[in-house]
Amino acid sequence: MQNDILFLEQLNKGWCTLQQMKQLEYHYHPRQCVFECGNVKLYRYSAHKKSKNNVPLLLVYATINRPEILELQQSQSLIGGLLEKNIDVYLLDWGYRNNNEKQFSLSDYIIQHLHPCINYIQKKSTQEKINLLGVCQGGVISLCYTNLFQENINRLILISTPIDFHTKNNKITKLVHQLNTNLFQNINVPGHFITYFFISLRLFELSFKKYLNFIDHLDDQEKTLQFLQVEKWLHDAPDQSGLALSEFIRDFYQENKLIKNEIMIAGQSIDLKSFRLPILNIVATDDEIVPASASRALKKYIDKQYYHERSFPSGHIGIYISNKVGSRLSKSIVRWLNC
Amino acid sequence: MHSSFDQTNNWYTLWMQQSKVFFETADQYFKNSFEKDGGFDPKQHLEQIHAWLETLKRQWEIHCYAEKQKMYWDTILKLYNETSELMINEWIRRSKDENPIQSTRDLYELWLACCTETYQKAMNSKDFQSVFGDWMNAAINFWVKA
Repeated sequence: MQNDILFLEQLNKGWCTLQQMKQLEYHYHPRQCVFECGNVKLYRYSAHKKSKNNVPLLLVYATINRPEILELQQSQSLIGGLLEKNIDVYLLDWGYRNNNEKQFSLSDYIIQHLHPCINYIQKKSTQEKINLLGVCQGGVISLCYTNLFQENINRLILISTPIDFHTKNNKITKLVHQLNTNLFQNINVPGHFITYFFISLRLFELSFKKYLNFIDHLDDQEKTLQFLQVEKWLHDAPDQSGLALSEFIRDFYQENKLIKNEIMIAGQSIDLKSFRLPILNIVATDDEIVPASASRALKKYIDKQYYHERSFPSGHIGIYISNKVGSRLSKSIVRWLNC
Repeated sequence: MHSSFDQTNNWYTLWMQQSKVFFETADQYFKNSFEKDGGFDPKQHLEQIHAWLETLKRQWEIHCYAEKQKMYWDTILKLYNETSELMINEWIRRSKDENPIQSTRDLYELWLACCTETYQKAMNSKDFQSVFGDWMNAAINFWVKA
């Protein structure tokens, strides 16, 4: 009985602690917004030491979540790790969609937003080619961009990027296969709708179990803060352009066009076989949102001499925040960029 | 004797609200028609009919969404029933293995573990995927038109 009372007290304390999430603010490494293009902002981070002939690295996160996850834990974040190794880091922030962007297509994101940002970095750094790192759906966008503008990219890094959307264990594909994408192509789809969808992939773990784990560590301030930060980030999903989202679900998830070379961006087809630059494919082996099999499929479609792979024992988000991975992710990227 | 009337929707109130709007508007038109410069304005009348039809259509959409939502919740309810069975069996097994449930927390954790197992299994079934897809489509359709 005493244990039960303690458990209930702990639950109550956990609930009260969760309320603090609203007051939390994101913290960033020193950076400056150097270019704006519509809602999109391009940030340049201050490397610890400036080095000459440093090919800039542009990070492109997915449009469906915020890129803050890449530096949520300042001590061992991906961005922090890259800066420690004096990489010249840029970040493309897609921003929050407004009503003028509900008709934005994937082509628009690539041609009207990503392309000008890359051109800006090329000009500013006087480098003909820059390095590009895409995460998840941002990886798909980066892959498509690189395929169209190979002359602008030196090396491409993909993290948790789906290539074959029809591998056996892809939960998202199973749940969206009969979604009528025509329904929302003329609206902005609310971010909380997307958040609920991702929660529904692991309904009981993400709605109950994780809070149970959370209350076990309430006395550990660092762990509690980390949990609240991730929780804030998780519920900070921007609204999505209905057109781009419907294209992504229909062409990639439902029809699996990427591996068939049937994706068209600005009237040009994306041909995976045509890559002629080194690509590093980083896979999270326990990823339930983008299964490892969906990412590893890239190996089958591009010339072997350009393909490199690293895997980490973590999930889709854990790869950026877990102690298991820690600074190994950034070190692995820097090592590959320098080899 | 049980009625087959859908108790989850208060159709009587909905109907009465609809009727009230209808009769009040009709009353207004009839009053005007006998006044000086009164009479029916066909254009306004048509607009009013369209407004009524939109309201009826909306009620039908609510009904469609409610139906798909009910199917989804029925599926979840079925999963809960399967979970309960799984949980009780596991509870018995643990008691026999001399690892009994000793606290509310133990019980809650067992329930969550069973829910997770049942839900993950269901997600791989065509039936669940179909019900989930229908519900998502209905929810988006309803939300878009709201």
